[in-house]
Parts: sequence; structure tokens; C-alpha cells
Amino acid sequence: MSAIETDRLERRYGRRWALRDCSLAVPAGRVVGLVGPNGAGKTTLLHMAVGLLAPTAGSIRVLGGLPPRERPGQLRRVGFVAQDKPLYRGFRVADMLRFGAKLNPGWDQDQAVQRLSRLGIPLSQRAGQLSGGQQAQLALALALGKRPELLVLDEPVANLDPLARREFLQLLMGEAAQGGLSVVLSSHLVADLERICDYLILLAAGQVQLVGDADDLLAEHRMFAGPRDQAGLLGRTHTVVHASYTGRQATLLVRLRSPAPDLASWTVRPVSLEELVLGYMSGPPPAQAAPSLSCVSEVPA
Amino acid sequence: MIWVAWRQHRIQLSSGIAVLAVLAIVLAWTGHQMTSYLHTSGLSACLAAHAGCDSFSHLVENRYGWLLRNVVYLNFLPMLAGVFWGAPLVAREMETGTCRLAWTQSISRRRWLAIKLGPFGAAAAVMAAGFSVLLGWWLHPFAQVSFGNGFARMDLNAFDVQGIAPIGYSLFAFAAGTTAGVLTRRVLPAMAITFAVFLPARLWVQSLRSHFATPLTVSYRAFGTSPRAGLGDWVVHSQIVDRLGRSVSDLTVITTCGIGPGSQKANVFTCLSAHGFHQIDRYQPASRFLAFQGIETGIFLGLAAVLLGIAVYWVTRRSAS
Amino acid sequence: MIEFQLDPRSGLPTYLQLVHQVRQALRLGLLAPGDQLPTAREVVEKLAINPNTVLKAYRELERDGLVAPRQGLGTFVERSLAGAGSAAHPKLQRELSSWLAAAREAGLDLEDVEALFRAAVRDSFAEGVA
Repeated sequence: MSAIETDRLERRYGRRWALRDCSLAVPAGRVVGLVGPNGAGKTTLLHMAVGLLAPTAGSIRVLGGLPPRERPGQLRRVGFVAQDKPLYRGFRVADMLRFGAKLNPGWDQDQAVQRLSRLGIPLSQRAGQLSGGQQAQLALALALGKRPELLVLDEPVANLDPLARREFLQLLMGEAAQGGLSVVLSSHLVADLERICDYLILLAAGQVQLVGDADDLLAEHRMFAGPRDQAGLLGRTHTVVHASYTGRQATLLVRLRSPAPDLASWTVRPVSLEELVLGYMSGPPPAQAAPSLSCVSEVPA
Repeated sequence: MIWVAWRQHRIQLSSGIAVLAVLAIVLAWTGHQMTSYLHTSGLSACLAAHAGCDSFSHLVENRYGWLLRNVVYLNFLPMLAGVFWGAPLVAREMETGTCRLAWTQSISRRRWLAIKLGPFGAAAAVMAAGFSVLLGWWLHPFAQVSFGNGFARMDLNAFDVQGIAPIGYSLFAFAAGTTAGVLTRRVLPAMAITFAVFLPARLWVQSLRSHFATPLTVSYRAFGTSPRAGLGDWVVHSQIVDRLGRSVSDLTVITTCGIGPGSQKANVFTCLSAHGFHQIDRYQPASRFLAFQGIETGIFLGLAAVLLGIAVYWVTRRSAS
Repeated sequence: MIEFQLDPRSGLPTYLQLVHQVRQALRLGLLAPGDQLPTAREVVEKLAINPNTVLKAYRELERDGLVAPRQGLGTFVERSLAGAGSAAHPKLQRELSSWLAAAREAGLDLEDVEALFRAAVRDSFAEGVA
């Protein structure tokens, strides 16, 4: 079963496209990272998955069924932490839990209370007076309280200091380790996601640029450095995702179509997730490439 | 589930009720004062004896005329239900983004909206009913008094604060506020729109009120006292007409028949009958009070239903961002 | 119980780092047969890494026969990696120490020694691979 499945999903506002031609099948039981610059369409995609937004074209399925927009019953299976972690500032922490208990039939109050007390978050404190990290953890506890099968988080660790960020991710991974939970989280910083994601979706300008298992993607890509005038050779047998040139040297991010070649004048090394994402987001190689580099047609616009 | 609505809006609800409670106490106290003055001044005894009560009337008018005339401002009370309860109801959640939290819990948006509307709608109706009863009691002793405008139940402005009409006005205002909030997604614009919509709507329906049923007519001597005086009618229109039924201005009659300080009554009466000048009142009798209340309340409840329908449609079918 | 650490700059995939740390602990005798490895949950709650990474590492160790899962209880060490400790090869240890003394006397510094050593290891072990 896919956690989220989309078929040519589209969302537009007037003449502006927030998301277009998005076809994905995100496997269940993984920690999925949705990466892309601001305005890439990440929030749009996530909002469509949790029922806050309806597509203007195409379809989306969640946990093997209709999306929550069309079937509100699905809301029980999906937990969501929205961007900026909205909470009722005047509510005490205990009130927020009661809010969750009243509105979610599958609520596990004991576990929620235990989770918060382990973190040292007092139940009598007002939500608006908690620190940024504590608010994030309260929002997470609220989303997990209904024991969802899919947990969606929109930029959960943005604006958190490094310690709070670490604690949040520790908690999140602890939940993922228990099994039976699919996690999808978005970020515009790859560094946040590198340690925790085993499946990656790269979104830019409203379109999917790259998608797949993180380990597989890393295994398929290499960074080649070598003489500029030979850059075209590589392009014939493999896909050059991104090229940059300094003087007579070329550095190419390459997607291998066959086992990595052993070329004498080139040094090869593996890429990090960050380099991979940057390479795909940077667009086609600059126009001053040698003529034989015209085969970089797979690079997205 | 009601707990959620209560916990979220308890300050709004309780402060509104508290303000209204204070107002109610003020009304009760002033009502008591005025009623006792009615007796001590001798006006009530005079009215009971159906004697000419102008001098007694003046006494009461001097003392409490301003208070009675200002009851018209209580017409703003129902609007408060829209501005302070309706407008922020949904708009605040959309403004602060907490709708993204509320709409991803396990209940449908329709249910969520119903939970919010319920307590406030009920409170608005109950408050309106309470004030209607209170003001009915407050105005009742003055039903036969007139300081330029009358205070009988049928009279303009007295009609508006009694019976079931205030319930209709309050629910309409509440619905208007809620819907404005849903459409604008911002609290302050929603409040402003509610204010801007409520007044014209009320005035417009009020202008239609004289047409709810065909007015009856009664005729009598020009400038005289209507034979139906004191029966609690709402005189919609009063004019002098000539023998042929053509409308004649007061000034024309005065100059034609020489009505003035030094004129002789007999001469004036002869002149009037010679020209056939007589007064025609078009009126709605007091017996139509309940029917008119029903029509007016029905109009506003209908408007409220339409507005709430729009609000429900917008919230459930339209998207969040 | 072993406590895992991560070196984000080592260039090695996370799961391999975990595997190496278990093997190292076994060699040094910090882990013995019958000891329990931390659960996936315990590891990720400390390191904030993907749970599948831990499972992948444990699967690799299981494939090498070093650990085995026990249903409902956890993952336990099956056998040790004894034989690599200094106590088991005193002669090799002595020969290594005297070689190092000779190298230093010849004027080699730490980096020279490491480069020599790495080259020799590469040549020696590469021959063994088919």
C-alpha cells in the first residue's frame, strides 16, 4: 500500500500553478522527505494529502483510500502538524489534550500525557507561553494522539534552535521506530532531512524533479571532476544532471545509466544528499558548455 | 464537543452575557422608576379616566421623555450578536491559522461549524427573547402615551423591541457576522461588514412593514382627534383630503379657512365642511401585531438561513489555502 | 550495552558506521555473546536517525552470523570476534612495535608511516579479492 499516491495531481490559483503534473507513489512505513525551495509547492501537496485543499486536476489517494477532503473519515488515520505549528495560545496544555480527545475518537490520552511529561512540559502551562521547541513537541503530541497511520509535517523544525531540533527529531524517529507509521515531512533545508529520510521527493517550481529511495538515489549518482573538453564524453553514456565549470575544469553531477565508468582523467566520488538536491534544483548546465553537451535534455527546466 | 466551543469562546460568550445582564438591570431599575412616576404624576389615573391628559403628559415627558425616545438605540443590540459573536467565530481561526489544526482533527467541517454555531446561536436567541420580554414590560405602561411618536406595541421602534422580532434580528445579525467572517477570513473587516449590512437591512424591512397588509382607513374632521385615538393603532399615513379625495396640504387648509389664533370655531367648521376637507388616516390596527411580528421575524429568519447556508457551503466545499 | 556514535563527515553510510562499531566492540571484548544490542527505538531516540538504518545494520550483522534476533526480546550477540585482540597475537604485536621503532629511526613521521601502512594493506588485501 502506498502512503500517498498521486496521478497527474494539479493545483492552480487563477493562472498561477502551485503544483502541476505530480505523479507519485510514496511507499508506506518510510520516513519521506519532501524537499524544495520556498514556493515550490510543498505545502500545497501536503495540504492536499490531509484534506485542507482540493486538487484542480488529477487525483490523490491516501493510505489506499480517498483523500480526507472527499472522505472525512480518513482524517482519523492522518495526523498533521501544519507550518508554524498552530495552537490555541490561550489554552493550557491540558486543554489542548482535551481538545484532541474530544475531536478524535481514537485518542490515547495516557500516552499523550506520558509523552509530554517525559519531555518536561507542564500540563498547566499556557500553550502560548511554551518555548518554540515545546510548542513543536505539543503539536506533534496532538498529531500522534489519535494514533494515525500517516503523519504529515510541514517544515516542523524550521525556526527551532539546534537543540530543540534534535529533540524533536529524536521524538519523531522514536515514534517511527515503533512501526506502523508512515512519516512525510517537508523542509527547505536538506540538512534537516539527511539523517532521517529514507525516501526523497524533490519539488521545485511546482513540479517533481526527483523522487525515489534515498539510498538508491545516492547509489545512482556520482560527482565527476575532470577536464572540460572531455565533458561531452560522459554525457553520451550517462545523464549529466548539473555541470559547473571553472577555467579548464568541469564538475559534473551525473546520474549513472550503467555501472560507473573508470575514466583515466576523471576523479569520481559519491555525492551527499545535499549536493544531489542542489544539483537538481540548479537547473540545466550553463550555455557555455561544449557543443557535445546538448544531450543533457533530461535536466528539468 | 460543546466543551471545545465553550473553551474557545468562553470569554466572548460570558462577557457578552455580562454586559447584557448589566443592561437588563439598568432597564429593570429605570422601568420601575418610570412606572412609579407614572402613578405619582397622576398620568395613569388620567388615562384611565379617558380625560384630556396633556398637562400630565408633559410632566412625564419632561422627566423621562429622553429615556423613552432613546429606546430606539436598543435596536443596535441584536447587531452586537453579529459583530462580537458572529464575525470572529470562524474568521479568527482563519486569521490565526488554527483552522489548519481544527480541520485536521477527526470531525468533518460541517460538524465543526455546527458545534461553533450552536451555543452562540442559542445564546443570541435566548438573550433576544429575554430583552423582548423586559422591554415589553418596560414599555407597556406607556402604550397610550404619545410624545410626538407613540409607544404602543404597533408603533415604529416600539414594535422592534418586543415580541419575537428581536430574535429574528439577532439571529440574522449573527448569521451575517459569521458569513462575513467566512468570506473575508479576517475579523475586523467582517465586523465592519456586519455593521454596514445590518442597519440597511433593518431599515429596508422596516420600510416594507406598512405593506405587510393593506392598511385600513378612518376619516374624521381635519385637525381633529381621531375616533381611534388610544386604541394602539400604528398610523402609517395621515393627510387632509378635499371632497373629491384629492390630497390637500395643511397650509392650504389653514389659509383657506383662516385657521389661526383669533379664528372662530364655528366659522372654521363651516368652511371645512363647505370645502369637504377631512382627515384621512391610513393605519394598521393593533390586532395585527402578532401577524406582523410573524412576517418580520420570518423575513429575518429566512435571510439568516440563506446566509448560514452560504457559510456552511463555503467552509465545507471551499479550500483552506 | 553499546552506545553508538555518528561521524557525519566520515563519508561512510550511517548503517555501516553502526556495523563497524558493533564489530569493534566485539573485538575489544566490550560486547560478548549473550549481550543485548539496543533496540532500534533506543538507537534512533538518541541519534535521531531513520529506524530502517538501524534495522539494515542489524540485518548485516545477522548475515555475518554475529547477532541474532530473539522474537519479542530483541537482538542478541551470537558470537565474538576474538582473535584480533592484542592478547591473542603477542608475537605480531612485538614485531609491529619493533618495525615502528625502526621506521621512526629512519626519519619517517606519522603521516609517512600511515601512508606506507595503507599502501601495504591495500596491496595485501586486494590480492585476496577475486
